[in-house]
Amino acid sequence: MAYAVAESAIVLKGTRHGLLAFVREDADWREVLGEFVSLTHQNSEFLHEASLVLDFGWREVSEEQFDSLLVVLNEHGMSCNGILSTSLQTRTVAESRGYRAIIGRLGLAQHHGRRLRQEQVTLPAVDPQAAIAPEVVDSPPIAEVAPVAAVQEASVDTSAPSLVAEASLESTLDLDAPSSQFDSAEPSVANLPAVFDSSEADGQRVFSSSHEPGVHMPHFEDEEPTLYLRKTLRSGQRVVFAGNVVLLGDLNPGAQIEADGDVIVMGQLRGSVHAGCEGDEQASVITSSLRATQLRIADRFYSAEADNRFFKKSPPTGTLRARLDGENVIVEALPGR
Amino acid sequence: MGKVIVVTSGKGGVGKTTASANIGAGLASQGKSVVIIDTDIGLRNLDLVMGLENRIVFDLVDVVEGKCRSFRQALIKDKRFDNLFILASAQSREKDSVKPEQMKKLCKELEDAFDYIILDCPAGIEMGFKNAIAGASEAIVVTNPEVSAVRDADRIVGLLEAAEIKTIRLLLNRVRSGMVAKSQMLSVDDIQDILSIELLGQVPEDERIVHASNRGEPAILDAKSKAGMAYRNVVARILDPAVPMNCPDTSIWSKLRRVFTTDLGAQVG
Repeated sequence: MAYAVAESAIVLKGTRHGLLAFVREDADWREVLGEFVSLTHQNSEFLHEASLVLDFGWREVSEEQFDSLLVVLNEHGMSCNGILSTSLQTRTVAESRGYRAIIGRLGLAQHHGRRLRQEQVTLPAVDPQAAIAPEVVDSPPIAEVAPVAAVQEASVDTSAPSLVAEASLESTLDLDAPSSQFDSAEPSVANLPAVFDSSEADGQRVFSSSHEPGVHMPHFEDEEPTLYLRKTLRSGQRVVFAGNVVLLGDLNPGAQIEADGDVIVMGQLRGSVHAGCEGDEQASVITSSLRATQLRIADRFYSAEADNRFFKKSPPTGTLRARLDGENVIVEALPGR
Repeated sequence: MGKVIVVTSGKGGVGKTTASANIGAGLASQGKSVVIIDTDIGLRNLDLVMGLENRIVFDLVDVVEGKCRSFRQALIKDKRFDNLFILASAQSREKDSVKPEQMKKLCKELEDAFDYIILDCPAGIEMGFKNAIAGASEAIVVTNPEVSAVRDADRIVGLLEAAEIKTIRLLLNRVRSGMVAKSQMLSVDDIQDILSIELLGQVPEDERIVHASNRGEPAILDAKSKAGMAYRNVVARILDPAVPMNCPDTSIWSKLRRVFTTDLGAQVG
């Protein structure tokens, strides 16, 4: 699927916040424009008067390129609702044209999600007629689907780019077919990492980029996604990820991590952490220094007052693990060597 | 090609304007051509600290709006140094009367004419901050040894990093070494532990600096002022990062101890 996606210059995706268009970073600009035109021809009903958020990734879009894209969008009755980019130049260009630009990149979805959490993806304002279900293959459960998906990747590969776009849209729209072949490979938007900047009071979100130096996203088919961050999270920065988070750096006071799975902080943990934020009671927080402003696992708080060992002058050293034990969050020292 | 340095803090009242004025005057006293820009539109202060209030004809907003022929017409020459200028902010306008692109363009023009362009940033992280950092290539984050100031400084460092400003240095202001020694105040190490950016210098709390500001005389020119001494060290370190940092430690015993240890070191060496 990942390769199939990489073949087309644009991938559309319905999200909670509207339509998102990923513009492949290394695609030729004429190809990008051409694909927007062909997409609008093939999905004219669906895309008419659509408002898109454009994800340019790390591409450096020049003023002329951006303007030419706006012309194409306008011609076909679409509008731009803002852009996502890790490139300062691209953001500056977009901002100079009066569009809201957000630092970051959601990127082409390329890793396999643990949970598809489709219930969270609400239907954007779409005419139900436009959402024609794809040829849903009678697929086995997701755990066994991997080889099948691999075969289907090849078949999608050869298909028209517009089909990919349509199909990936379908995968997020079609709530009744969680086992469609695309679902196994296409994580929902909720699976993508995001560094939110809480200063944006109007709800604007600043996404961290998986293309920033030091950020890698390994993916294994049978494991849940893990976000690996090699940086210090400073006050006001927030990472939300549907999977595990490994932070190779400090979590400063005022910074937040929210993860579906486990959180491992290799630096000083002084901010707030929420592991298992979707309710996973098996989730845990592992760190060598526990001075969290706030620590939550699933729906429980860690009560520092009740467990003040870690706030004395010489707290227990070594690797600490916070996990749920019945109703309470407990912190235990992992046995050293 | 000049350097554009923004002096910022997030929190108000930590000494951004005083630091801008002193660093600017210090660089000028070392023979550099310097312009200090007050970007705090609506709350004009820098001209007071520099004692130049009565010379303002044009201000920052006039320059970006093109009301004067060039920026040169709006620059106010300092009383003490021929190579030091300030560009005052507008008192009766709003922060949004200037746009980041306009600031960028102005900084580009000034880069060719001056060695150092110091931008005195307003408190907060809104429009005024975005304007001030737009044209900057380096930043000095001013903070006090207080948890709230350090927290805000951390936020600012995050925002500066996001704006791709690579050189970010810390200026610790209003340090009271007596309180630090008694662990009643955050120490440099505590602050560095959180911010982990390069420390440019420490400036002790000094009553003389209040007096100097009120008279419109930068304390760096006051030979007796401890803060002035610290600022001279800061300026030396801006010009040459190899210069060692002075510690504002004023107890006579620690001074004696330092003299002894240095002497011993010199003899051994």
